[in-house]
Amino acid sequence: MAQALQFPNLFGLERSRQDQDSDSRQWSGVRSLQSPAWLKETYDRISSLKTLEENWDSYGGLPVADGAISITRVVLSKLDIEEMPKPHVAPLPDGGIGLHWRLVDRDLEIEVESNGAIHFLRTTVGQDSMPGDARSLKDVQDLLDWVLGK
Amino acid sequence: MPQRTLPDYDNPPAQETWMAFAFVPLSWSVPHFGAFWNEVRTDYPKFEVHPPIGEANFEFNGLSPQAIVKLPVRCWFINEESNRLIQVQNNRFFHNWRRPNLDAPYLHYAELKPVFEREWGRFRDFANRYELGAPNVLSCEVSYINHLDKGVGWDSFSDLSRIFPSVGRFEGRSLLKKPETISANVSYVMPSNEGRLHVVIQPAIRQLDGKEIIQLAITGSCRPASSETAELARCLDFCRDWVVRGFDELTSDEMHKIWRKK
Repeated sequence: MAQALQFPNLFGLERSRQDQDSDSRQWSGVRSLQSPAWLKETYDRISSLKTLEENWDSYGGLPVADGAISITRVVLSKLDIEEMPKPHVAPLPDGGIGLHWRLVDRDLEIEVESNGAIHFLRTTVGQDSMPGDARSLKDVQDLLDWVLGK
Repeated sequence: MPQRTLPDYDNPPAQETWMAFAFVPLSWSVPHFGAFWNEVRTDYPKFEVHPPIGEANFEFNGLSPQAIVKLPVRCWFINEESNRLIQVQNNRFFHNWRRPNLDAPYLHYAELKPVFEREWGRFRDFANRYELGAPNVLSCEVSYINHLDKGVGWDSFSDLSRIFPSVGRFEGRSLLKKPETISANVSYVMPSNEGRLHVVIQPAIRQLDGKEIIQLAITGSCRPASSETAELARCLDFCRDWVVRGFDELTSDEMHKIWRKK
């Protein structure tokens, strides 16, 4: 996989999606935990990764880093994921978090490192996989749109 | 009349507050946004354009000799520190304050109300000078957005009664176990001025840090008897009084200890 690139500033990421309808008076950004329906379950799964101890995979896997957890949460809170199916969430041996979506013939793996770097591997059935680095939320959103065939 | 002391907290969970007036629509058009921004730009150098609040009608009269288009738009004017915001549309005016970061101190109503009144005065003067007339205020609004972080007094939505003692557990007799999430939208009648207190409880993610929160939004609104400055100020105080007392009455003593009630 290519060299990881780090998000320049996690908390300065552009606002991709905000849970504010056009009638909102509110300024501070929040996203409802009730939409999409799987979001709460996914958040709970991400939180549960905190409990993993070193060597959780019997191969020397590192505990999931707090940074990876918070970055994954922030990224999910800012993306347009209403139409996406629930991702499979898994710890990574280097302390990161993997998100995996599969829809028909399209397969997307996103890896979030504790330092904010985000890698991806996208695969269309019957074709070569394409690895890469996501440099911004827009890059991640484009990948999700690709899964949906947008 | 003796002054009532409102509940107060050293560490309240308020993340954002706003005050607002809704008024009879002015003959406000696109150039007025720019002209008004020019007047406040020193204090609010950033802007965003948003859809308006409430009903919005896009008007296009293509049959007239000179086609006229009225675009329903709300403009945001934001200060350099990104902690204060003016929202303007043809029939509403808002001033929002938010914590610029989670450690920033809370700004009290006593500090924010004069700011709102000053900015409203600028808007009203602008409307007069541009011959838009004096805004005829139909309603006043005061709102507090509170963020209750998971892990601080609550851990799951089956704990909701730890925060709001009057809320039930929403568990069924056998089939339905603990709810995954709960949200609520409640309103109360205020005793005068056609007032309402709206309470919205919503499970949410704070985008600033990705944390799970319960967002508790409490908004008081009422209709002023006139658009006189003193009456508007009285209505703001009335709404704020209900918001603060409502917050205190709905939330538990356990949470009051966490927020260090005085």
